[in-house]
Amino acid sequence: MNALLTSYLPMLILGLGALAVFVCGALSPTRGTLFRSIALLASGAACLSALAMVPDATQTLVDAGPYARFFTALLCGVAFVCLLFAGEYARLRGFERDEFHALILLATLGMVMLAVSTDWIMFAIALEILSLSLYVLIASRREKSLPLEAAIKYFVLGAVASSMVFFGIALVYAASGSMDLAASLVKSGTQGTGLLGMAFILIGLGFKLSLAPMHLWTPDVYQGAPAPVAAFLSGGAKVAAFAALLRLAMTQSPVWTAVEPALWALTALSLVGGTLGALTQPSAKRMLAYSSVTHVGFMVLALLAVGTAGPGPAMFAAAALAVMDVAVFGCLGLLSPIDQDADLVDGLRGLGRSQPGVAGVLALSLLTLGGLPPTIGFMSKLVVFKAALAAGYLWLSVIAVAMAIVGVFYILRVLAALYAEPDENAPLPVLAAPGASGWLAVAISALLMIGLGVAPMPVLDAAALAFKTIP
Amino acid sequence: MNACPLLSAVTFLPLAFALGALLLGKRPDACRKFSLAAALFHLGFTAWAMALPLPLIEDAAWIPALGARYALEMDGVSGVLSLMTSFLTVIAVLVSWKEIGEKVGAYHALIFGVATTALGVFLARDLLLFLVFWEAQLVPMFFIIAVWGHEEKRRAAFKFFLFSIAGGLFMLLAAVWLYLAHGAMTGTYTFSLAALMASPVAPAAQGWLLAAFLLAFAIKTPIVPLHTWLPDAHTQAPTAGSLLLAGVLLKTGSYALARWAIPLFPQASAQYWWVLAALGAGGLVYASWVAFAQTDAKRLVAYSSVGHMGLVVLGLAVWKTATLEGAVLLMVNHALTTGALFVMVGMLGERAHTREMARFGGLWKSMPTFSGFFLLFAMASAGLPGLGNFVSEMLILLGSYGTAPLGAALAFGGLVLTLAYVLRLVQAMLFGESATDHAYRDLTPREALILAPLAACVVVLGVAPWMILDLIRGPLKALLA
Repeated sequence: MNALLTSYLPMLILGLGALAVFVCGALSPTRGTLFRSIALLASGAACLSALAMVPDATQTLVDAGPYARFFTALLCGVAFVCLLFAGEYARLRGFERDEFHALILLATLGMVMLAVSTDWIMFAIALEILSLSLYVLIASRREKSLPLEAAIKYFVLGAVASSMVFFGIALVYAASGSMDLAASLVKSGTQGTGLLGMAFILIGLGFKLSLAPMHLWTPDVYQGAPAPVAAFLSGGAKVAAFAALLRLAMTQSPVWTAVEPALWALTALSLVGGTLGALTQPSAKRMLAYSSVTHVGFMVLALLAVGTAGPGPAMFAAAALAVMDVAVFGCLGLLSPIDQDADLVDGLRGLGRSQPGVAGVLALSLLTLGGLPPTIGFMSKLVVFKAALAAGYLWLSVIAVAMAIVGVFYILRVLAALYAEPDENAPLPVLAAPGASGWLAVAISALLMIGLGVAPMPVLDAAALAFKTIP
Repeated sequence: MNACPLLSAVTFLPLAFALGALLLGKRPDACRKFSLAAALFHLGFTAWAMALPLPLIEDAAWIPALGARYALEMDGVSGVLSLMTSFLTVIAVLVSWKEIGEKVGAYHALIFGVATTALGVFLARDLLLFLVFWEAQLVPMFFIIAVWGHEEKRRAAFKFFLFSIAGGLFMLLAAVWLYLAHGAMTGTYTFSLAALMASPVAPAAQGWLLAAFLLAFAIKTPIVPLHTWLPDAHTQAPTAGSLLLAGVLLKTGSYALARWAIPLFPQASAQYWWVLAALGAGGLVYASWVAFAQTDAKRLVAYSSVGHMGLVVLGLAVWKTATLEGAVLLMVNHALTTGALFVMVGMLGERAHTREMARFGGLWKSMPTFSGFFLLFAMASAGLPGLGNFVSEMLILLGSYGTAPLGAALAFGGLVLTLAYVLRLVQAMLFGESATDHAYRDLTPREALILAPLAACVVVLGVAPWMILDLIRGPLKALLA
């Protein structure tokens, strides 16, 4: 009983937290600080309780081993930092409502479930909880047209993707007769039904991951979504979908090996397409969206090497992506004027001088995206290349390096804009102070980016532990 | 001897000072004074470390899961280059005293950042640690050029960064490959330089790996034809930026060639040494030829820098005791002379707001002190006997004559060209007809104070090169063995 409780504890905390926010919202709808405190408390507590999860063999729906512990802690941590980033941002823009905070918690619940589920039903429910919450979160700024457009786009495409996943699940079930994730893949064989099912699941998850060519929604949605929500989307939802995909990859079942060549092509396409797409974007958020497509390609490169290197490198890459994407979008949000998110790269001109603190961390996170030492981005490159080369993916690694070099160009564009002289004709936007929670989020991000770049051992160890315990 | 945490202090003290400079950013004068005191302290500290029995070693576990260690070592060669780095940091702070008026705190912090990353490159003895410092070098210099540079600073900074990262990332891939190949061969996965040198990978793989490492080092050194970022970066950078680029960052490239690329892949470098030698000697001739065509004094010095580094590369490629000694000695001398020339062109630029050589002439009449110093450094750069460069150039030429007569002959031709364009520079600037009636002010005491130690070093190293040769001979013997 005790073990059963602890393996579900993070999810329980998140769910109860969401309920508490809704109840408080019903009683007094204007107490934004209270909602925020509850949400922060719940995500923080869920993160801590994840560290205490005990593996429990008696139930088959979720995994509570080190793999689940790693991703649960990571995802709850992402939610916590995103909430910190969203704090002042949401208050000043008038969407610090109960549903915003409750939906962040519910989406986190969906993400955690997606990462830990070992059963297709659980998996499907998780995907829907996550997607439905995100549709609404993207539209949190109801009075603006861009977020609404983004939400509708994400909703239409997301619903199609979800149905593809469900159809795939049905086919896999039909081929294997099992609802257990690993067992069904192993049993489903490589012909007909099972392979088709796997392909559908891959397409659906590829959409959530924005793996090219299923990435076309990404720039529009990231541009439209409020910056902290974009941070949550790319640092959280993406990592959760990746955790699910990684769990499928770890089965190394015949059906998985059969789709690996396709995944090779998708990886190459993501690396090239994301980088080229980002290269000439005048909009900073669209550029970062394309850059996150590249980084997903990079993560999948590590995922392809699971057979020889284990999930460790992929998990490290996922953690790195979460840290840097949350930081980059979060800081962009803090540097945005109230009426509209900072969008054009040229609109960031001179902010390095007027807002040295936040702009400094934004610059740091851009360098992390570029993979420069001593940041976690560099370590992630190293670990992934090590895995990919050991697994024999030389050409994919060479493509990744070439794209990383090209990618540095757009990163430099933003860096140069940040520290350029301010435009004399266009006065600098008046920005609100980040507030205590904003500063805390900025500090945590900077600390994680540098700290894990210099001393990556804790994360590497946690990821290595997962390799030992998952078959 | 084990010197924990002495070497860490040598490496990271500048970074700590950077923090101090940032905090004092609001009070420019205090920030300058603090930076000068800090840089002087670091110079003293490095010199003190050098006075201890070398080599100093520091070694601790860093990322056990990857077999990466936090390993630093200061032997004669890395020590000399470290000392040169901290010396040039002092000069860099001094020359920026008047030139840099805005965001003084960030500027000095970045200068200290350059120092720490370069010191890390010189001292690291673990491939991963080396890579971290190597790539981190780009960041402070990018900002120094992009924010405080001249008219086309943005383009120059981009070019510098993209060239360097292109080399660096392929080297990262090759380093991981080397690590895996070495691990598969010996059973121990390690990034340690000593271990990787002890059992080199199969000769078949070495060629590609050497090519990837060379790409990175050739861009940074720079070896013709990968030098095109350098004239732009030098021309657009503020004076201290040019000084540190020429004096410190270029040296990390040639030093890494000698410390990492050639020792890690002995068979491949024994097979392809002539490619490197040809590029070095050819680069010297080419760059000296191009230097003739320059009208901008700073660009001319930049091309002369490319030429001299070509000679260093020739020396390293030949890989003999004499040429190696000459190459390391030339690294130091080149840092001093070219650094000084950049500083002097910068001083002239502050007065005249132009660096076009046609706008000067007859400076000797109005600025005798300046002209005296300029003549000294120009002559040193051309290799006048009795001044620093001469000994090193002779060592390289004589040493390489036996193995690479053609390369040595080519290099000799290049040196003649060097002499010619240096004479042209001196003639155009100091003598000849004055282009304007305007008389520029001679050096201030502060400026003379900056140049005096540089001049002293150039003369001392010309007269008594054994001071450095004694230090580097032992470690170079070990490299050759």
